[in-house]
Amino acid sequence: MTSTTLWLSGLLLLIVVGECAHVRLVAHRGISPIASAAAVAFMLSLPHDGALGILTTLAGLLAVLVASLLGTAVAAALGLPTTPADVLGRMTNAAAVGTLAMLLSTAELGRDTGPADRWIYALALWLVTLAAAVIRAAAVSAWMSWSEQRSFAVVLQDELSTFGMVSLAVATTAVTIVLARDALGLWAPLFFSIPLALTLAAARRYAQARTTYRETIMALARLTDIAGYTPSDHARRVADLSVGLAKARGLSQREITTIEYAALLHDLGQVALDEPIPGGATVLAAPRDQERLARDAVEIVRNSGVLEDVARIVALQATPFRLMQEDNERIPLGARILKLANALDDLSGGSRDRGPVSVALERIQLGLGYEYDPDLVDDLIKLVASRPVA
Amino acid sequence: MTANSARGPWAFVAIVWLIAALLMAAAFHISPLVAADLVPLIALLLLGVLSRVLPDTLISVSGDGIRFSFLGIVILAAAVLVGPVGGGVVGATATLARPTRMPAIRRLFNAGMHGTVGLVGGFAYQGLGGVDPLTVGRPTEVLLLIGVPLVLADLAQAATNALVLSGMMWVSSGVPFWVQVRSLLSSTGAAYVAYGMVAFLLVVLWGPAQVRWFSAALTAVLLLVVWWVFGQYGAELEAHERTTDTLIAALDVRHPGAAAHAQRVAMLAGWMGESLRLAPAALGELRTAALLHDIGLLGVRDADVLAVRGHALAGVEMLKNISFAAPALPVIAAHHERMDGTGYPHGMVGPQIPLESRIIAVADSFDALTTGTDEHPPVGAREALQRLADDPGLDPAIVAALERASSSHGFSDATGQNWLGRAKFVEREPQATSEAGVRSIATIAADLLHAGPTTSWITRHDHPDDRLGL
Repeated sequence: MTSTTLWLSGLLLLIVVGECAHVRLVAHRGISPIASAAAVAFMLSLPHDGALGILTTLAGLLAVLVASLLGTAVAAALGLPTTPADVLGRMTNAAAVGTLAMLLSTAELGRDTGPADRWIYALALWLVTLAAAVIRAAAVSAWMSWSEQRSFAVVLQDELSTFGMVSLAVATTAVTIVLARDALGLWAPLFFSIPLALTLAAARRYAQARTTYRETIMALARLTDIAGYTPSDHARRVADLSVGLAKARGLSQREITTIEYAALLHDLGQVALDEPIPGGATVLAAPRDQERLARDAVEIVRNSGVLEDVARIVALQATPFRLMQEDNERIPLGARILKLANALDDLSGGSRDRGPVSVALERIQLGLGYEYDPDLVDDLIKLVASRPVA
Repeated sequence: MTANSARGPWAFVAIVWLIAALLMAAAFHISPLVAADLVPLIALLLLGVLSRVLPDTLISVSGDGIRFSFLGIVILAAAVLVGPVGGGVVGATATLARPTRMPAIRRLFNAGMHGTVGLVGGFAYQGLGGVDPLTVGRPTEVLLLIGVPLVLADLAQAATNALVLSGMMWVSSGVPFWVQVRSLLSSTGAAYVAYGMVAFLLVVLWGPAQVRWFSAALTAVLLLVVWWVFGQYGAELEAHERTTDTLIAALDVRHPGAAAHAQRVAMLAGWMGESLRLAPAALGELRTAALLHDIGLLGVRDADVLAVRGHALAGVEMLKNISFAAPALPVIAAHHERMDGTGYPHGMVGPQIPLESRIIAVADSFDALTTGTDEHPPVGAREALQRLADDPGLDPAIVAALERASSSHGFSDATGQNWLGRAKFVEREPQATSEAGVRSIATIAADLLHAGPTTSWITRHDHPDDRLGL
């Protein structure tokens, strides 16, 4: 049997070491699952009973914070990436676990529960860690929706789809570490981190594969620039505008990425042209030509077999807005956004200067309700007014 | 499949089941099931069925890849917690109950194999000093009396799996037995180590940690997460592979027929690389370079000699920000360099030219000769090889590799474009490709046959009779 002090020190050490095993899942946020699991196991293992319960929980939180910061420092010294937001999330999680575990100790469920009732103890621990994970996700989402001015529901959905599965694994691992304490002693945290390590390895490769996927899309977007069909960085600028418009509409990260990829690839059809359109400006081409270009682009994009959502937006990028009223045709929001963003960049010649941009906006407003979605045009005017002039 | 060729595999399945039945009889004799075994048996059976209901995660690169299925973990845990009978029952039943459609022979074979693997694991655990996990509780005992025998049982299961599977491959497709055993052990070895560790965790939770049946639920959640993350990785990797196809599709819109040319060159280059014994990683890089070698032609609109000559470097410019294409860039830049210094853009000589570029040069010329252009009619494979051997611009060692590849793939006597129809393909893991929907090389070849030849000069700029010089 391992003494409580030794056990708790072992878990704190695992927080420090585990901080270095970090994976970045979205642009600026990652997670160190092993450190997080060790922190939850640590909070569950504190002696909670009696009046001292609150004091030990507070001291435990302080210890988790110190160990996490120490781990961050070690990782920084080794040149490994970490995310400060992950430490904040871990502290929220640990505080929730500590509070709920105090309630658990009043229910007379503890380490010494025998085989007959042990599954109840295990289930209770599991529910505590799951509830704490939900509290953590809600707290992080509330903070992010406040700081980024996005809807709470959308941010929470993004948070759960990105970190939900890993958080589930973290919670379950922490429970198994605590349950195996008497059977394996200090080996328990080591052995029970193995499934998390497997998850971590796969998640890392996943993040890597997604990066190269993105790079390939970017290279595809630049093909028409290099081949001399479009002015340089046209696709990138249209993508930035489209992302801005999509964010203003409060779309989820997944929808935003789809629209971004569609914008990056929208001019790919021009490679079929024998003579480039002057300035690459499809907005000036005849409607029938515009639709043919869209069709060629779709044919190329469909070829991948995995970009179906993107292909749907690219296919309808030239469809005028009026068809939505007249023929009751369903034009996806992404396609309406792309049409508008492309028009602004084509008509302003890619410039950010006030002169060309306001001329372009005037021309767009001539087609208001006919070519373009009026609500989106309002968003666009706000968006270009807020961005810095180059 | 004729009745004659099907008889061998069926006989092999019968032998596997006979062995399983004999082992099962011995298991009942030595350690029969008792009432206390019922709960773990049912829990693990449910977990086993769950592992078969979820599709295997396949992480594939061009059809070859690692698979993640947690049935191996469940079989090992059953062999330890319930004994040989448990391992056998869980292995066979879970596979038989699998809801996906598959040929009866495969279902029966897999069930027999997994049953045998479970029985062997159970015998190995008990024979090598493993104790009933419910009877120990101290860390040292847990490690020595459960952990060590469990790892040995795991190894025994890995070996059994490799032997039975190789036997089947030998009977059904004539793959050399020991070669297959070695390749299976090296490709599945790491997965079995991981299976063993996770099975150990399940056993520890069940027995020494006294969580009993609820440990199956906890483990199931952990395994589901690992399975899901692996699936995400596999899906993203496939998306990325398919996006490479999109690059070639764009080129094909500009110059129809260019995609088929790229696929044929990649196929030929791959065979030459295998014949030259390149490492798997180098083969992957060679394949990427071969597929994308002409991407620079996207910027070429009319048959302008200067523009065509610039396509090697234009391709590098287009791909320079894609990290996975980085090793391919010098190869693509030099794919028109020739051994005697008559190539472009730099007029490199002999070994200055990267090996992969020399391989692509040979494949490119072979494809041009067998496809022909408007002025030059296509020639047969034999004549093309002769022409390549006489070409001072090509590396004779690599032309020799193409000759070897053409005879081992059975198309050295083919005429013109026809060589594709004659070529034989070795499918390394036929079941893996069909399940995940990944296109195998044979299906790509079948598609190419329907594509028809392209004789446009821009795509055929590498015809040896029209070669552009410095």
